[in-house]
Amino acid sequence: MQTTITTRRLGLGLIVATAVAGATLAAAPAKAADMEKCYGVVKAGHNDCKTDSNSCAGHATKDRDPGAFIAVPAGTCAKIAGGSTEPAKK
Amino acid sequence: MPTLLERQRGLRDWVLAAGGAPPLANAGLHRDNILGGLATVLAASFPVLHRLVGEACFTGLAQAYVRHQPPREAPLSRYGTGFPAWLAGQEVARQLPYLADVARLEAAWTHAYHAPEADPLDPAALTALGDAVEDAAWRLHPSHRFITSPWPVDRIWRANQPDAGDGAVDLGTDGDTHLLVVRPAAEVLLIRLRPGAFALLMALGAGLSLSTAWNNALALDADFDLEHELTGLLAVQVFTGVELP
Repeated sequence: MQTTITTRRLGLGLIVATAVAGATLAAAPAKAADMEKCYGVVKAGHNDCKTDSNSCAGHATKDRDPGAFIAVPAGTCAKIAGGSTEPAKK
Repeated sequence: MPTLLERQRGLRDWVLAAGGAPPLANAGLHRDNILGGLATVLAASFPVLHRLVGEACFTGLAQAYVRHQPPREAPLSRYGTGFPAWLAGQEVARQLPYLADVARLEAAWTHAYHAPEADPLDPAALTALGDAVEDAAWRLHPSHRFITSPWPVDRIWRANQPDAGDGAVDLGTDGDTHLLVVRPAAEVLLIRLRPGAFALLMALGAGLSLSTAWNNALALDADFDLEHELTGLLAVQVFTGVELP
């Protein structure tokens, strides 16, 4: 029993060392410290400082009832198919 | 004569309720701007969901969610963390059963994007442990999130990026999708893991030892290759440290 554990521990040290060597050779992403990130934006590419709240854009859709569209998806979901689309899949 | 606080609460309740007499002149404009602005915030945080269901359906869903759960804090980048769970209970999620899981992935992406910075694990520190690595506790990057779904939500996500082509996505039948979302540097990474690697990483993240994590992985996949998977996980810099107890 003692022998098995020792062998196993030796194995782990070697495996980790080999994995470290392999990972160091692989291209690593740029370090976080090299980058400056802008906080407070919702997501990259959306930081254009425009909100509907300031431009009264909500006014344009005033007399439409958005609730009526909730169950009517009409986007790219039409391109997703195959397998089963029943919730009982899993 | 109502107090200012009572008047403000009355206006808030009317904005969040669907219908009823407006408490003030032009209150409808205020309501539409509040709901429209917050729906735009959700569209920015859930762009794939927005593309999947289209503008009209998304706006309807977003405004219904705003009424159900208005923001409770000022930073709007954190608004919408409860959106995926709420969405799962909606009729549209019954029609498109992968929808709520795609939303969970987008919420994980946003979490990773705004999570604190952390320096990656120093490879020399790990090698220096030698066989004592068995007893070490591994620290994962604070931005990491695990997603498991019966649907290929990563493929759906990629097919709906602004630069993606016009191709269709096959939902397929090849079992669960296991994803790691992490932001080791500037870019959020979305990585599909084999079930064994996913189990290994979850176990290490929960503070279990490497040999216990290895056994968990082997239980799911008899052919699990620790050296190969560990190399991949080290390369994406999901670890930030190892510590001996």
